[in-house]
Amino acid sequence: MHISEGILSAPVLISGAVAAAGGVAIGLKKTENEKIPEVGVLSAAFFVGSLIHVPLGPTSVHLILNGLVGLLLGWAAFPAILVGLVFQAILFQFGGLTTLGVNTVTMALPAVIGYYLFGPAVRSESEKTALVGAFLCGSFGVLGAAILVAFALFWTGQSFLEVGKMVVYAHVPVMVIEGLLALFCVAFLRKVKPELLEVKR
Amino acid sequence: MMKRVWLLLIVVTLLFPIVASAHRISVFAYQEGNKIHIEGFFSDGTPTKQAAVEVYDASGKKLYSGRTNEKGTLAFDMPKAEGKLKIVLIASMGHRAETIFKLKKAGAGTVSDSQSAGVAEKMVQPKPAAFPEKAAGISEQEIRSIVRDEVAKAIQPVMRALAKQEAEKVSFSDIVGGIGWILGLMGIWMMMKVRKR
Repeated sequence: MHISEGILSAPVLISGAVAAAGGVAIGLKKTENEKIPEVGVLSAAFFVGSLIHVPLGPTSVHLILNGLVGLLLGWAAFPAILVGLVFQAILFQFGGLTTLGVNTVTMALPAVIGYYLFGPAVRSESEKTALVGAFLCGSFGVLGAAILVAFALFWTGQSFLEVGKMVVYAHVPVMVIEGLLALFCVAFLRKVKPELLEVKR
Repeated sequence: MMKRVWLLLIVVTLLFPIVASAHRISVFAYQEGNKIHIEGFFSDGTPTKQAAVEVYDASGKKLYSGRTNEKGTLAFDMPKAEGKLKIVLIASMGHRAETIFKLKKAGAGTVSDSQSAGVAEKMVQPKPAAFPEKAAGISEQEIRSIVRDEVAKAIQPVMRALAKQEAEKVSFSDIVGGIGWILGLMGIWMMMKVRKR
């Protein structure tokens, strides 16, 4: 899901960077002090997640964890994912420094949208609703990122539908895995630390 | 009890596949006879199937474009260019890698071989009889080119292994280092927020 350097044109890179900067600013502003450790931990999880490679499908894909990050952090997913991406680019040469903005948006925006779409379900009293919401949020993060990647590549002249289909198909296994992962995490947190999810009682 | 089971599940899912490798593509080119072979793979060793390959000369003119096969490889005829070739591999979903390939003339050494040929002549001059230009109908130039091709063929697996190793260099210390950086930044952020009060 990391777009490499040298693929996108300057206008796409710049708009991506501007959008990412806006998201990061909102994220930093909205983060309360008590949430900071959580942002750090999830940023680290995101950073490591991309090393977990899923050997299924036509290409090589890896976990993204953006759905989970968004679910727990909301807008703070932007700074968390940006920091994770910076170190992935520096240490693993995933993506690249010039594409940081675009990559941040493609992964953090679906995270934030997932937070608003499925957050209420995850916070609900009913355990079942919460688990379904968690699964959907985990999968939605990957799906949204795939669609945004296809959209970014569309500006390079590649056919949106073709690339989109390809990216989405390739990530179906990841969507299932991340859905389950989010489900396990939410189930765990509801039992151990429900205040982290702001569960209504 | 349930708590422990959940915790265990999460730990196992998160830790188990860390050994698996990562995501980036690499492209590797080598010459064999009159063809240039290209091989592309993701950093976990999966070949880049059906990836676009573009070849440019030193001035940026596109000389060749094609696609890799199911094994992630592609071979094309040596272009009639000189100097360096830029080989770009574009795999699906915005992955891109490039490599610079230095052109060597295949076959009997011609102009580009003038330097080594010149040296050889000087060596030959003192004892022309002991090392004749033509031995058993094979010229020295031909021997040179055959040896060069054979050596290139022989070291090919080594070169490929090296390229793959280069590609898989996500190391454990990088991972731990990155986590450390992130937690450190988090600490700085907290410190600054707390001081403001």
